[in-house]
Amino acid sequence: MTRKGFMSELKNLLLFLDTNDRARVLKHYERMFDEAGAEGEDALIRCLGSPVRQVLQIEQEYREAVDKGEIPFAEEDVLPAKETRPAKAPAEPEKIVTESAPEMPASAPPDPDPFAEVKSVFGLPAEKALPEEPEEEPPLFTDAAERILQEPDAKAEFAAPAAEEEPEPVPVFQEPAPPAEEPTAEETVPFESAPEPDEAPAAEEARESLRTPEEEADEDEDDEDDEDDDYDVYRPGAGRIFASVLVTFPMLPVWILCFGIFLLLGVAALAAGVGFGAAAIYLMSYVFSGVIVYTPDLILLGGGAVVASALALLLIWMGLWIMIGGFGLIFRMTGSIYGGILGNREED
Amino acid sequence: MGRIWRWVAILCAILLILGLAMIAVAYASGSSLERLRETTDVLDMTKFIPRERLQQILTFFLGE
Repeated sequence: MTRKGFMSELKNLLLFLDTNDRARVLKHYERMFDEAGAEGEDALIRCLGSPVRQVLQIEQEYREAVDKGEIPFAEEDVLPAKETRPAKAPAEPEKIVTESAPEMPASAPPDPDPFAEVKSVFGLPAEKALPEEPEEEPPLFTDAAERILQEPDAKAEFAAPAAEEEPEPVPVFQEPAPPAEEPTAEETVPFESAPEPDEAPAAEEARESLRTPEEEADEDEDDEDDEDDDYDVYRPGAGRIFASVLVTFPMLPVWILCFGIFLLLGVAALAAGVGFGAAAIYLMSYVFSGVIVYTPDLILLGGGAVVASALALLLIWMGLWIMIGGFGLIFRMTGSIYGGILGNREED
Repeated sequence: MGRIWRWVAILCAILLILGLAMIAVAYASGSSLERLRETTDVLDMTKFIPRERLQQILTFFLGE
C-alpha cells in the first residue's frame, strides 16, 4: 500500500468523525508521512498497519473520550510527534492533581483493561492534562512510528522486523525514561482513567513493532472478524421466509396475468406497427414503380405511405415500450413485495 | 425511455403532418381513393387475401 492509498482509505473510514476532527487526524498522518519522506514511507506504513486498524483505535479513543465527557481531538493543532513522546517529556512536567483520578502506585502492574493495546499503540502521552483542559491532543500514532521518523537508523531496524524468534529483548524501541519523569497516580492523561507505568508502552510497542507477518495477518483477520461482527449479514427470520413463500402462491396468478397483459398489448402494438410499416412500403413501391403517372395520385400515395410509416414508428415503439416497461414493472413490484416481507437492515 | 419517447413523438408528428399535408394537396389537385381504385390495382387487396376471406374481414369491420 502506498501513502496515497493509505490516506485515501483512512479518509473514507473516518467518516464517523466530524469535519474538523477528521481533518486534524488526517493532517496528523500527513505530517507523519512528510517527516518520514519517500524512503521511510514503506516502513511507516508497515509500522502503522492497516488503515482499518488505525481507525478502530481512533474510534475507541474517540468513544472513550466522549464517555468521559472530554472533548475528543482537542481544538489545538496536533502536536509534533516528539512533543507527545514520554521520553521527550519536559524536564519539569507539569503535574496536576485531580480529585477524581484514582491513586495508583507508580510501580503498579500494567493495566489489564481491554484498551491497553490501544493506549500503547497511541502512545502514553508524557504531557499530562486535566480533562478540563482538552487542548492536550492525544497522540494518534505509535512511538515506534515516531522513532522511525526521527531516527533514520531505526527505519532499517524496523524495515526488517523480527526475523528473530525472541522479540522481547530487542531494545530498539525501549526508551528508558528518567525516573523523575515517570507518571504518577496524581497525573492524568487525556483519554485515560489512570496512568500506567513507563515500561508498559515501551514493551508493548516493541512487541507491536516486532510482530511477524503471520501475526500481522492473524490480527488483520481478527479485525475483519470484528468488523463482521459489527456489520453482520442480515438474515431474515424463519417467519419472514415462511411468509414470503406463502405469498408466492396468490402472487403467481397475478404475475401470470400481468405478464400476459403486457405481452399481449406489446405484441399487438408491435404487430400493428409492422403492418403499417408493410403498408407504407407497399404504397411507396407504387410511387416509384412508374405504374401511376398522374401526379396527384402519386402525391396521394406518397402521403398515405408517410402517414403509415409514422403510425408504424409509433406503434412499434409503443409495443416495445409496453413489453419492456411492463416486465420491468413486474420485477420491481416483485422486489418490493418480497423486500417488504423479508425486510432489510435499514428497516430493522 | 423518456428520451426515446420524445424523439419518437417528434418524428411521428413530423411524418403525420407531412403525410396529411400531401394527402390534402392530392385531394385538392383532383386525386382520390376512388380514382386510384379505378385506375390502378393498388387498393386491390385480393392480391394478398382471397376474396372470400376479405369479404369476411370487411363484413366484420364495416358490417353488412
